[in-house]
Amino acid sequence: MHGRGQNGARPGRANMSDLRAEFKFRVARLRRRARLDLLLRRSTAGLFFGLLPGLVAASLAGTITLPVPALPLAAASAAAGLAAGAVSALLARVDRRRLLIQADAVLGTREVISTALELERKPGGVFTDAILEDAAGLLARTAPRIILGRRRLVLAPFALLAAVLTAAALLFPVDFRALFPQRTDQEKELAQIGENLRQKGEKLAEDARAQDLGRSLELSQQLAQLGRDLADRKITPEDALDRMSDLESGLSREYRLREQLVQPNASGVPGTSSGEPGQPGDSSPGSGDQGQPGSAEAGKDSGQPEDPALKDLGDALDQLRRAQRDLGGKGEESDQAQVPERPRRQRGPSTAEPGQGLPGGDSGPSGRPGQDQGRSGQGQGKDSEERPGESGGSGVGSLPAPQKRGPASDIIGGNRGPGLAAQGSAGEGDSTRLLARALPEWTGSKLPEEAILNSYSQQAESELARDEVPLKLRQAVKEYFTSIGITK
Amino acid sequence: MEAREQAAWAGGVVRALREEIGRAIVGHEEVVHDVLVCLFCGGHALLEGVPGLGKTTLIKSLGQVLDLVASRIQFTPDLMPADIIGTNVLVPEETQQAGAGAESRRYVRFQKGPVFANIVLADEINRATPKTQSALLEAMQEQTVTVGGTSWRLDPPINVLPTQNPIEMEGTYPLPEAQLDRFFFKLALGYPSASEISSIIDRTTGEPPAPLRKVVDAEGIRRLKALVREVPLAGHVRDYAIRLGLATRPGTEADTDLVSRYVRYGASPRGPQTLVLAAKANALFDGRLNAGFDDVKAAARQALRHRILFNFEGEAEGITPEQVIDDVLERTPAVQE
Repeated sequence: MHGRGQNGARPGRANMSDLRAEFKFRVARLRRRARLDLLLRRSTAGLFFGLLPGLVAASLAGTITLPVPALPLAAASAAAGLAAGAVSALLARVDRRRLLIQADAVLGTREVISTALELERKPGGVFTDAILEDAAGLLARTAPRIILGRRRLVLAPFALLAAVLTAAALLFPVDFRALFPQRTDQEKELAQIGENLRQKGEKLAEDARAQDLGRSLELSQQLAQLGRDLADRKITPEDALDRMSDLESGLSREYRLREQLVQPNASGVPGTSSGEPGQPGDSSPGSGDQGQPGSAEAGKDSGQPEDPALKDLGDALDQLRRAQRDLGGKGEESDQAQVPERPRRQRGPSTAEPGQGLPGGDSGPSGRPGQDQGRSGQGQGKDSEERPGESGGSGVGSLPAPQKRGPASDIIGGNRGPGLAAQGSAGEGDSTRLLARALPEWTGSKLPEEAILNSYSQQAESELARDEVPLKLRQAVKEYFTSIGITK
Repeated sequence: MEAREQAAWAGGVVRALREEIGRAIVGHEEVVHDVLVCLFCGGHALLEGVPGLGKTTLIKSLGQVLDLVASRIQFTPDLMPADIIGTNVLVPEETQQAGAGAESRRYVRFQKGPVFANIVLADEINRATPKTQSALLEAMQEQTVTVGGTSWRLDPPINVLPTQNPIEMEGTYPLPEAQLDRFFFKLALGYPSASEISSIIDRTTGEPPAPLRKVVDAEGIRRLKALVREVPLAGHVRDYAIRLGLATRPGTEADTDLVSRYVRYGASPRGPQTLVLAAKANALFDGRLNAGFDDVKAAARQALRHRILFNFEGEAEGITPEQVIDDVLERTPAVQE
């Protein structure tokens, strides 16, 4: 045994060389233990990092074809990592000075042991022997484990886990492609529809915000949100159809309102007013009364310049209807070939209000035969035509249109068309009543107020002349128009 | 004597000295310890404190217990160097032939000043002019006095313990930094506590206390001084002392934020030198055979506080050297990675 006196006893104090040898022996023992710790730490780390490529290879073995079999690859990688860790630990320098400073710090020996290390190399001073003896004694009494601390192989559990996972991956190969099925074409198309709706909705919202149109803005935002939800697959196609239906009604109403303000004589909602009667006062008698279903070009045929915002709104409506059609086809193609007809509005007897067309995409290719037959002499050509491409609905109005126009101030929105009476008897067919007391918001229209009021005044007078109207109501209507200074 | 016995003897001597001085001085144990460190390291200590804290009593007690010659010089603005180191005087020489025919001859003789003592208390050193101060400081450093071309060697051990009053700075000549750096320690004496004042009153208003006994002679002091320098100190402990000294200098890698902001000049090489020597003395007085980090830390305040010079901002902010030293101690790791 290094540095031990005879019989393993502690060397005598007078024997300087024995003291140094004893101290060296104790330091060497501590150093060996430190190197062993280092070896274990680095080997564990090397094994862990070596196992990782093997784990990856074993995991992918079921999915792709590897150039080398996974098992030898994993084994070789783990062995290489282990060897690299071990070699680096063996080549690393275990600093004796640092080790003994650590010993002093752990034992609280006020640098006796680290001072002894320096004295061990120097010729003796007054205190050298005593310090070497003290230091050797301290190291002899203290287990290296106390100085070096508990062996912490932090990566050992991870290495074990990696080994287990590698083995599992080798035993039970998994094809990852099966775990991540690709999107179907149908889903891609749905996402594309949603994206289109979102873009259109945002564009519309910008316009509405610029023109300070509250209702339009709300509808546009709903449209954009619907597009987003559809694109993100947050809603089912069925829910999307429901929401589209509501939106379509709202947008149709909005379109008509604004169209009337921009072009008082126009009333057709794009693609919806198949064969709808025109507005009174239009100068192309007969042309619009025939109601060419699926070919309407509302607004454009009138020769009047089209308002860009109105066009956007019409485009949005087109888009929405196309989406409805597409979605109905995609979402329910397994069940039925077509989008089921959705109750977009209430339909009442066509006698309710003469000349009211049915806006929206429900006007089928057949249009609304018979509705546009009345009052052909008033020339409602432009209003009776459909916007291009909007002929997807099923014809709903097979009944003759009402004979007379209703009071315009009473019905503005909804599915009312211009004030032309269509042929047919009251009580037949569908119609919708919507009461608009005033315009809901400022639309930016520059239409002179007198033009509308005169028209309304005439209608009011004609209506008042009817026998059915109670006298007291006649008086009230008359007073109203008198109060606003139009009716003479 | 074996090393352990020598260390034990040294520890015992210092303990006895402290106990004996403690009979005369109430409190100030740390100051007494530090004065003894200075004494056995061969350094000089600058004592700073308001009047009445027992500075003079401390020095006198030290002289008694060490069996050394102690003197006291009260520094005043009109004090001249000759008043400290001594001067040549004409002395008549008496001839053998007495009577009418006898001739009276005179010769010059050197009259030693109060600096010729082992322990010199230079009271209120900052009241004397720089010329007088430097005469004393030369004697401190060189341990010789030269008058009229003749050098006179002072008898070792020489320990000069000047005092300064931190208040009443009007009409004073503060010691220049170069001279401050020559002091081993700067010790600050604080006010005694209520219980200490009570003890002081008991001791000074009753019967006069018994005279202090001599604890160690000049030979013992010499041996102890030699033993202090034999105490080993590991290289990394020495490095720590050096890094502490460097950390007080702005612009070095080791400096702290406080130092770089408020300090103009830090410790000179005498700083780490003092730290190492004082650490050895601390270890020996504690009966240990080697000096460690704690011994260095224990000496840091006394060894460095008068070696730190503040810039204008530091003066304006009222930063104290103790704050800087504590900051340096806190931020300087004992073992450098």
